[in-house]
Amino acid sequence: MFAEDEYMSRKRVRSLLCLPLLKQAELIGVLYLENSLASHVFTPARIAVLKLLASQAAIALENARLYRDVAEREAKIRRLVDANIIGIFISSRKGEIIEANDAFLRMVGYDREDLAAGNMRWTDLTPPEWRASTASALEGMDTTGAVQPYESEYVRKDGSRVPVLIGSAAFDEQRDQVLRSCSI
Amino acid sequence: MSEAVAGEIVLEKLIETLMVIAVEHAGADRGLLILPHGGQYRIEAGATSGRDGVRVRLVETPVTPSELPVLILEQVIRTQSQVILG
Repeated sequence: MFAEDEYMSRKRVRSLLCLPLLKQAELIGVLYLENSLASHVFTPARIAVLKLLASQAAIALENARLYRDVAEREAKIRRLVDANIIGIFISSRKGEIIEANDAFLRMVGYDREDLAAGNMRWTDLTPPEWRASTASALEGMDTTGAVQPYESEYVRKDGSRVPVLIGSAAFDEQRDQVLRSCSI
Repeated sequence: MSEAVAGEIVLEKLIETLMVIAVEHAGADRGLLILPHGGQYRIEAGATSGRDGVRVRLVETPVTPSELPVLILEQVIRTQSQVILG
């Protein structure tokens, strides 16, 4: 049946087993085993155990792959935040700033200690006369998860003002956290 | 160590363990793990059984007729059912 196969005609394979690794009818990979010395190596009993192993392996492989994908995505976001090309901060819906990069902290004149102490609230950064326009700019947030960049001002720690262009996007599935990019 | 690298190590350890157990238990003298990668299948790991146990190499090489019977692999991928010879 596979006599015309290049590999089979060249190599002397006495026993061969090619097993699909399936997870819920999805092909995760293929396990190929051969023995070039003995025939009938892959007995039904051995195959039964291999199949069990293969199905477990498929689940574990898929999980490891998903974990790797998530870790890679996280690393990409982390690199973007740490590059400090633009100011980036993540705040809760209530307004606490959970995370911020150095570019953002410099922009508003705060330091890491202020952030760690929980002294920074996004809602306090916005001056009263900008709150109405900010609220209307953020209206699309609940439906689309992101809004068009809008202009505002932020109050720096020393009380001075800095004009900013702000982009906002929901940072998590529940939309409890918001990621904001700020450029002057 | 970045998390991406940590994730990579988890996957590599898993593949190594899988190959050793599979080759040892099945009584094979050679084993390959083929995984999809960007729409194509490639050989992720190769294991050979020797005097000092099973040796696993993580290779990430394309599927070629010099490595395994490509026609059999294609049939397994297409039908999602096993092929046993010998």
